[in-house]
Amino acid sequence: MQADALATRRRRQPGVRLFYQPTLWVLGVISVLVTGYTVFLVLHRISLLQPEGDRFVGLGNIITLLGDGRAWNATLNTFIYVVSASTIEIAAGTGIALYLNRDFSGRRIVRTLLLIPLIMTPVVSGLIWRIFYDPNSGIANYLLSLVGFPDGLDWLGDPHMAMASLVLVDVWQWTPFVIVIVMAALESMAREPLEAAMIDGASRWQATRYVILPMVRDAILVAATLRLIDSVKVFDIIYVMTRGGPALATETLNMYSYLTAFNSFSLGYAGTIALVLTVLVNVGLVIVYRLATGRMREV
Amino acid sequence: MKRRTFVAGSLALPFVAAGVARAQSTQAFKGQHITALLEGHPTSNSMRDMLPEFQRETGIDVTLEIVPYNDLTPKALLAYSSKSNRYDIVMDDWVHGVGYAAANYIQPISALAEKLPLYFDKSDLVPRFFDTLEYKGERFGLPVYGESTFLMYRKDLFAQKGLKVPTTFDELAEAAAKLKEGRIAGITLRGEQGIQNVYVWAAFLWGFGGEWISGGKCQLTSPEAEQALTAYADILRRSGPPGVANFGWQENRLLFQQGRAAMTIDATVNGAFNEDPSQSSVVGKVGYATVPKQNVPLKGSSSSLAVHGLYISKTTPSPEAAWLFVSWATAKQQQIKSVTLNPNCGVSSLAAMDSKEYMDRYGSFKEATLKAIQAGNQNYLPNIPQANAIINNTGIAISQALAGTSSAKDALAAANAKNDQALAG
Amino acid sequence: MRLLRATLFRLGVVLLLVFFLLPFVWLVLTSFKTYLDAFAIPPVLIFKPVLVNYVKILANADFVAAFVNSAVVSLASSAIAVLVGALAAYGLAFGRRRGAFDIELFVLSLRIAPPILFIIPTYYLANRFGVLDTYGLLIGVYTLVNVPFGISLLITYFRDVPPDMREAALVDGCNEWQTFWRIVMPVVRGGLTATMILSVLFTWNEFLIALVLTGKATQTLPVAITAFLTFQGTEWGQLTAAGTLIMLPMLAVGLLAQRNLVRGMTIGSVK
Repeated sequence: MQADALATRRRRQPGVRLFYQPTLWVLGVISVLVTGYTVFLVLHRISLLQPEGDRFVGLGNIITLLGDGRAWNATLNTFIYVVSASTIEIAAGTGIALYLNRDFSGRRIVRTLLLIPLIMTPVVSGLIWRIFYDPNSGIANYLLSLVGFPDGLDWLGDPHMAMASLVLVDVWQWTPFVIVIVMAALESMAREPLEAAMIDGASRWQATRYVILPMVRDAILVAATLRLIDSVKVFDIIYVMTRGGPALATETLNMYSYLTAFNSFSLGYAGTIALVLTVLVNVGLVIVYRLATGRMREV
Repeated sequence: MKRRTFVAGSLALPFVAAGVARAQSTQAFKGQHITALLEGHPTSNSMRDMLPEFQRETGIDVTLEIVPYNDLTPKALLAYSSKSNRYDIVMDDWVHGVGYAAANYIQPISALAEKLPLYFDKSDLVPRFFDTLEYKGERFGLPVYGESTFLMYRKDLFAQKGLKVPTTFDELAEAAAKLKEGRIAGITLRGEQGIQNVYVWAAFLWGFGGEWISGGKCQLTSPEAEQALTAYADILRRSGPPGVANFGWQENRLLFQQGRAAMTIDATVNGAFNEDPSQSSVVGKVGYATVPKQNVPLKGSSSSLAVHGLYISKTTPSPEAAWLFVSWATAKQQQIKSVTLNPNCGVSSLAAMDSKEYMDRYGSFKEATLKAIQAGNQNYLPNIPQANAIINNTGIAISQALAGTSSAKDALAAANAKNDQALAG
Repeated sequence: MRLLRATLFRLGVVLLLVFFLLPFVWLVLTSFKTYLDAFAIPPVLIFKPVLVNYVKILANADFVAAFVNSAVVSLASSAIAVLVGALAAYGLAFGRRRGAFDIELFVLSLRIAPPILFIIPTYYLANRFGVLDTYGLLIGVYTLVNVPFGISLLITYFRDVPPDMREAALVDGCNEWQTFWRIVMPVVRGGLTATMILSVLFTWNEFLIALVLTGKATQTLPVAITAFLTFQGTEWGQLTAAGTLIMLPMLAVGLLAQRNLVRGMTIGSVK
């Protein structure tokens, strides 16, 4: 009797679908509209400075982009930035969340304080880090001089160093993001498997690796995906600290697109860069997701 | 008795009439509403502080929207291109103002100035500033603030080494090499890619006899330009401070006012920081000289002339009200007050520069500033709509030369090609 | 041994805090310093604090207005986004076969497009309908931006809820809505809180959309504070004071919300 009732309930899918279908429809329509507008931009030459100068250029923008060395450089920079920053953030964020996953006095305060890099206005953070990185008056080199490196580093002025310096700031800013997400998952996960493992004599490390991590894997994956997607769009830090320099060493596709739109006022080409960026990341996203969920299906 | 009263009365009549006329003209646009888009800047803050007086005197209701300077131009352009009439007045660098004028987004002021001379006093505005705001023979807007550049040097260090103030770039390089000692850099200049390094490097470009554009084509592949960039990279490599490749105005100024550089070429506004005891370690030790130039014929002077103005939108429904505000904000009285309210040494009013407050704070380098402005090059940065694109491309070239990732020649060639593309439109 | 471990743990926490809080400490200290002290090297740790920066910034009516605007827009758009997102996440978590990731992928992909692509058409459209510089527009746009984020994040938390819980409720006679609201939502309280906090944070600090779509009436904090970077220098005193003040509400929210990030209901609650 109960089994029948359960089966009937389970087949009552339509009710649940109402929960998400309207929202998805709205999002779908909007994304179609935005894509349409983007395609329009890509096919035209539009400049905010020449109101009567809009004209159709077909594939002209795309062809220019393919031959644009600066765009290729920006693509490479974007890739380096995104992969390094996200990887470090996920590893460190998960590690720290696990590390703090225990009872200790002041726990609430510590966890709130850790949110601070996320809370600070990005422009302000960028400015402060820029001051820290100042080779002559900044704390970074001052600290280095205290531990035996009087010359310090050229954090932002050396093209080879600048990218690493920016990634460090990104890590500083976004690791708390991962911490929050993983922490929430740790809090809401079932206690019994862990208790059972401890009773069975598992060490803390074994319990973490074989019991806790698999249970928060979803959260970690979401955090990773969100970080990958968001770090592609990073802007404030780069703009405020290096403007994309020195010698284009830190210019990402998003920055290039922004400068094209808001400095050169060339909307068509900016749209083209942004579109290519979007397509590339979409492809990357699908690949990463297939890989990650492929492994998940084995569970 | 009666006769004298009559005469006195009749003599007073014109003044009374003028008084009545004045009262009439100030209230003529009462009730109108205008919106101004302003840069974040002490002068804008002063406008905001003094606004109630204007509204009282004229009955015009004014909304001031203050946004970051770096993002103001796209906002103005979006508003203009969408034909929304959002802003009756826009404040911006003339480098962008030229673009507005060329696109017919702003209107000339001569007719309005004739019609409503109430607050407008041409003789009080710094002539070079006022004259710069010109496009195709028409005057656009009024100057709010401006600046030039000069060479700042440490008088004490120069005396110590018995050096003369350099007047050419060769002498500059020599002096810098001699002055570099320990933790003190011989010279510091901006290296950050973009408007930052372009603003200072342009001094070298013009000073070596080069120019930006001639005959519709970019001139960065000329031998003069190449020399200029090579000299810039060399002097910084030999005598510059660590990290200079990413020095913006802030880092550059900070280093100098902390006493860690013997010379710098930068904006006249830096003088204010140098001479402020609450933040500078070199008060009274700084000499101000004109920007060097090589002993070759120049196509334009090597010191800058940057002017920020208040422009009136072309399609505004209230041009007179807008003009009243613009002329009021830049009028002698208001500018004098602004120096007290929100100190700023870039004021565009000669009377304000003579005021006690100004002389107290900025007197020590006022003459040098005026000289620099007088000699300033109106076309220091290309005064055309494509300015931004050109500045961006050139900034990359300078940065590449500084970092050594490209030779000056190659870097300039690449930038030149991109600039020509932008010019061709 | 126990003591050593505890002490090492605390040391680790301290090191973490130092790294993550150093810029914040600099910010707050500088807001109380004069300019000379602020940039001195070696750093000046003992100084005479001044309040002039705070006096100036609080007297700035534009800044205070921006505070209100930011609060209204962030809270409203996040609340709506979390609600809509929770509904959709519930539906997706329980209404689809596990493994059907195409919709989730689509939702995630919405976050990819750089804001430049949609703010410009939004600007023109909003201008056409005369809704530029209104709360309605901003809340609407930010909600649309935050919903995909909410859905993506909340799905994971909803998935962690044992399906038996929902089954039991349905068998007991609850309809889907009641199950959602009264049974499942409390269980994912931690996830809801995390999503809400992150949504509010994101909106609170968002710059580009705010720059383009706001005007005098609705200008938010990020735009107001960036205006301190002028053509002729950064107004450090007001910037740091403003930067500190901007953070206080978020800190309070974070602290209060910690209550909800505690251990969720245990499985024992399912019969």
